[in-house]
Amino acid sequence: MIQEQTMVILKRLLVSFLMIVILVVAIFFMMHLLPGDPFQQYYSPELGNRIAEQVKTKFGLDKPVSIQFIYWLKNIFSGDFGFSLVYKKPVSELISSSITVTLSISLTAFILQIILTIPLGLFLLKHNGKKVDLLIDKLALVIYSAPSFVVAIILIYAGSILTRLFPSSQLYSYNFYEINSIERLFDLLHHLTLPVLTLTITSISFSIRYLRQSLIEISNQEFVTTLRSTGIPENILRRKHILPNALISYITILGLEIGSLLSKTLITEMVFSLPGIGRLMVGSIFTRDYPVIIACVMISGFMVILGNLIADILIARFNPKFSFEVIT
Amino acid sequence: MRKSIIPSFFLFLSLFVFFSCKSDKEIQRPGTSGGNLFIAIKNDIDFFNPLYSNDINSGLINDLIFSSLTYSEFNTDSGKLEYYPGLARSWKIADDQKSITYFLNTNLKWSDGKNFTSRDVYYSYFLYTHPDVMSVRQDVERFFIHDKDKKIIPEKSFQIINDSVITFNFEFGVDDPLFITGLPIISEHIFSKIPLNEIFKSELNFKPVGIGPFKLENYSRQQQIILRRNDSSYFDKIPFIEKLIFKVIPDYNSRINQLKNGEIDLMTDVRPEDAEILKNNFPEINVEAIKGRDYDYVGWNHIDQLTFKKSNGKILKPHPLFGNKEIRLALSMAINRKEILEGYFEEYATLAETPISPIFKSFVNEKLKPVPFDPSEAKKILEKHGWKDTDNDGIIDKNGKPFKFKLSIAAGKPHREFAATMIKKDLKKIGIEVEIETLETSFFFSKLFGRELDAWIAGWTVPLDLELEAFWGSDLKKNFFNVYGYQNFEIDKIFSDFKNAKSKDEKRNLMFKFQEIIHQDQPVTFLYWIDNIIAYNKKLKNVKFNPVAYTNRIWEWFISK
Repeated sequence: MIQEQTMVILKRLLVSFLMIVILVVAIFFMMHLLPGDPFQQYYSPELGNRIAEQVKTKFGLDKPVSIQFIYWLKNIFSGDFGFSLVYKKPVSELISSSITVTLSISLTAFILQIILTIPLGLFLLKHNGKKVDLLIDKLALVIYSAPSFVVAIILIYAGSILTRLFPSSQLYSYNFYEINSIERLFDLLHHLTLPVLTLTITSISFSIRYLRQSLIEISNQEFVTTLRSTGIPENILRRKHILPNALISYITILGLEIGSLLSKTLITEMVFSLPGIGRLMVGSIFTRDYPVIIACVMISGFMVILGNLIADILIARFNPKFSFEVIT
Repeated sequence: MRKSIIPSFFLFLSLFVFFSCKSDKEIQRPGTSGGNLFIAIKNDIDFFNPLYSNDINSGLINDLIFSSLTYSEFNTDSGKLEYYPGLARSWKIADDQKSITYFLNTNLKWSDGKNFTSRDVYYSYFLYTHPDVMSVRQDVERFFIHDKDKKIIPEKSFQIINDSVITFNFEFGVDDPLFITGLPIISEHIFSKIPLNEIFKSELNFKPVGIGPFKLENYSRQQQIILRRNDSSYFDKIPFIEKLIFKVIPDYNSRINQLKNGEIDLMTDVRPEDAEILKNNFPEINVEAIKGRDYDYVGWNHIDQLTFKKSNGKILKPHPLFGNKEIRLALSMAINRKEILEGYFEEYATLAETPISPIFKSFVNEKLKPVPFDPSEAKKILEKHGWKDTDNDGIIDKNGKPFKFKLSIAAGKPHREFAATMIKKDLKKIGIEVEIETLETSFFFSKLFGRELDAWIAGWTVPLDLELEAFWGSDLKKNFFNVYGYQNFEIDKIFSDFKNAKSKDEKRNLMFKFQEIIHQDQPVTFLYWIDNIIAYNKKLKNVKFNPVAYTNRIWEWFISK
């Protein structure tokens, strides 16, 4: 059984790898088809596009796209993502500094979302049909319908402008490098509170509605009625029997949520001026910084596919009836 | 695209240049030393190196880290550029204007402790003018001495006399030697170690060793740039403010919120509607507008793009709609520019009639009457040219073709979106149908420079030296920024005469004539000169903004305790 599962996971990994390759190749060619010049910033009335053309040659962008692709492929296999046309730094250096920020806020929000959604779901199940249940459900719907930047702006207004409790942007204070490690940690937490809250609230608004619905459906099933008739206390019934069953579908959406979380992180990074992968990617798209865009797409694609893979494995783990073959 | 305007360097301003050394104004020092100033900037720095820096904010920051031989300032009263000693304590210009000798400040040190000498000046200009370096300021080489193959001869052009004296020699008598030799100086001992064609990609472009009033203390990409005052600066007066913290905040609303919140002390490019809110509701914030050199215009393509493209740029056929100057005049008359200005900018803009900003005072041809808003006259002109509504569909037509076109704008510019909507409404009244097309910025400029747009709204920044040939000269290959395809050989002659003009009056008259022709031809519809609205916390004292750069004389600013 274990060997079978390993084979299936390996097969799934191979498929995921192929998906990333297809994605990146498609993005490479699509980016080069896009109109716009990464060196527009070098246009000047005195020199026209002369410097832009020189820099293009320097970066090998004067060569046919197919040749550029071969060079790029050759480099990628030696772990070289290329050189940023805008930042004039190795792409790997930019990615490694940005990914830390993105992972910090998205993973924290992801974990917080799980920690908060489950008890909240149980609470709503307990008060199913009551005013508090309906209120939270409608509120979650409103937040879910609103773009994440709206939530960010509301939080900035409440947490920063009105109460002045938290900074409204940046990753750390200007004197970050002059303070000790503990102060640095608190400084980071202070700056990341609002961005993480933005992501957590928007993620919960989706997952709580899903989990609530799932819990209600399970609680109406026959096996629950049978168990209830045996006299099991309601709280044990909810925690031990209804919740584990509802979690299976919740885990499925958690995998999908990783992709959605990434897109929300992108917007959150822009609003809070955080130097994460989202902001790097958006900036690079506007400036046509091809090597950075491709690397960002690779990383994001990898994270989404990995998220889905983990979700699939977890589903199979929690639900033995669920065949691995089904998910491959 | 707004052109970066960090020190440019051309002939024109020599008319106003002080040809002799002038000592710096005696500055009152009422302030207290210390404190940090938080400035919001929209985008990160491109390079900590004036060889390549081509963005406005980057230029300002580099000017604080590096210094030039002279320090220039635009006198808003006289409309002239004035020069003060910088790295050079004095200078002497040859009578024939073919050379300038600088006497450098001695005992100056770079921020790494190495001595500053004339070798640094030589090497800076050697790098600026060398093609392998790919400097964005490479065009300055045209003023210097060349060999038969038209290659610059650095040893003859930048002649080291001794460690503290250097002479620049020009190919011909130049109008403004100070302007041409006013580029920031970089250190030889740092850059001479790198092969010329590797400097562009060098890590040292982000580790500046300067000699300006501030030095780089910390740089975090997309976060902040911290400059600390350089206590060993050559300035007579060391800056009051200890640290300048430039916070990179791309989102406009975040910048405004942080200003209101006290997280930042200063921001530029405040929108007019926010200026009023800040004025009325935030007593701790000052709002000031700098009259500047930025104008918006409606561009009309003079050339039929299809023919132009098919012939690889060889055949120029007039554009079917905008090829005629009377039609362009009619379009200008049909647009209520004042209404757009008042509707969006309120008092923070001035109507534009020509590409000469009102700040250049004596060069503005004030005899020119503004193009009136007169839709009925506009309609008459169009009728004269055969544009009538023959099929009663509300749109004028000629030979069965309706007068309709796309008006393109770059995304993310609310004032241009507003203007485009108003123009569409105005032109509809005279039977012209306009479709507004909002394009992603890079795509917009790609189409603009590819001459693929029919009509558009964009903005230019007028260079300090009023070198305008690149925007209005008839040679479309050479003059890259003449994106409208405007050709008038009389204008070309003016540019040519201008370069050879000897007297100030002669130059002024030529500039007046230039404006007259532009006014008649209406190559574009000039909309307005846009002020740069700056908001800053009142704790900041002794602030004086200058059109050259808002950070001019930042060393005189101080923070009240």
